Amino acid sequence: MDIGTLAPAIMKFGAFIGATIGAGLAVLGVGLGLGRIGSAAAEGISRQPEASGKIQTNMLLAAVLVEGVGIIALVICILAIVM
Amino acid sequence: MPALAEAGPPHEFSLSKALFAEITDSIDHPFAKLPLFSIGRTSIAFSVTKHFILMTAVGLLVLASMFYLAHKLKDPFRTPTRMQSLFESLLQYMREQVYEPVLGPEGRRFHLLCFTLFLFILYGNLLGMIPPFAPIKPPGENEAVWLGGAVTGNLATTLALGLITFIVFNASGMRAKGAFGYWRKLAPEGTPGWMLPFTLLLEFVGILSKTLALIMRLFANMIGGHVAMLLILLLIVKFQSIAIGPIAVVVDLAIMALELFVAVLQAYIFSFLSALFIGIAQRKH
Repeated sequence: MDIGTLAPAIMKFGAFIGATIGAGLAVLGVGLGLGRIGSAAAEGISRQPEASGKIQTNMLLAAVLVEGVGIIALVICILAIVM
Repeated sequence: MPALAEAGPPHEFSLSKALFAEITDSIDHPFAKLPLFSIGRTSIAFSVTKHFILMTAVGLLVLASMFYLAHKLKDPFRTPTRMQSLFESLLQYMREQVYEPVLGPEGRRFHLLCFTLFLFILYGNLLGMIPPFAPIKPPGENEAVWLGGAVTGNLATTLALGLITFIVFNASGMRAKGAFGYWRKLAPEGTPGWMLPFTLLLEFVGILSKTLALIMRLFANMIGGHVAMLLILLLIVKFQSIAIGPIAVVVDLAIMALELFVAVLQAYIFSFLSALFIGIAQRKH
């Protein structure tokens, strides 16, 4: 049971811990970001209901961009587990 | 069926192997290898793999839908059919609401590229929603490859699409502002001379990272959706119990509905961001 035979197991252990913590943090960031986007959009619509179409379009655009970054982080976590 | 008759000992079911076989391309076991040319000892060949076949189908669908629209538009005074008005309203919406505001009047020649990207990614994503339907055995292999999965869930495909956008927006910027003027004008007006190299470096890294984000966003969205859908269904096979069946299918239906929405949205976002980058690159302020 020397360090040489334990090395792959330690690497896998480290990869699992890192990937799961990373995924949790990524989801945390995405949740906060999307919450702020939604609340800003809702406030804008409540102030001026005629502009609700434009506000909705912009909200969806910003939401996709923020979500994209979160999903990229999740793919990196999957990569860490698999490799 | 001869394939079942000559099966050896039953294979151990491995969740990760089944998942990977569904999602990745079968590039090690192609259906056919069409040799192109050889330099010295290496030879370059077209390998006809699963994603190659699917990409050809997507390309043919894009061509077919646009030829259909053009054919119907030859006589513009007849009552439009439903397919025709679908494509017409889609094209008109993308042109007026999405491409015109960002590309401007001098960017009219880029509408075609951006709409082609949109249709290709849209059809690729939607074709990936069809569950794998047909097993075909590559010659010389034991395992059959199921035709299914998203073409845009392949990093090579999205890399190619992102490279097209990158080349087009840099080339159009260099054509509009001069070969060196484009790179110099990346820094805003009024930066002091000593800060110029840093600002230019930062802007160049910004261009690279925006393109990389474009590539990875499409890839990650498609892969994430398919992995989630397949994992839940493969759990049924792994646990070998019939109680999981209905729950898994219902949960999978919900995820599939979300994935349909994400498929259309990601195509829209990719083409909109491409148009945005091209518009920024060639805007003369």
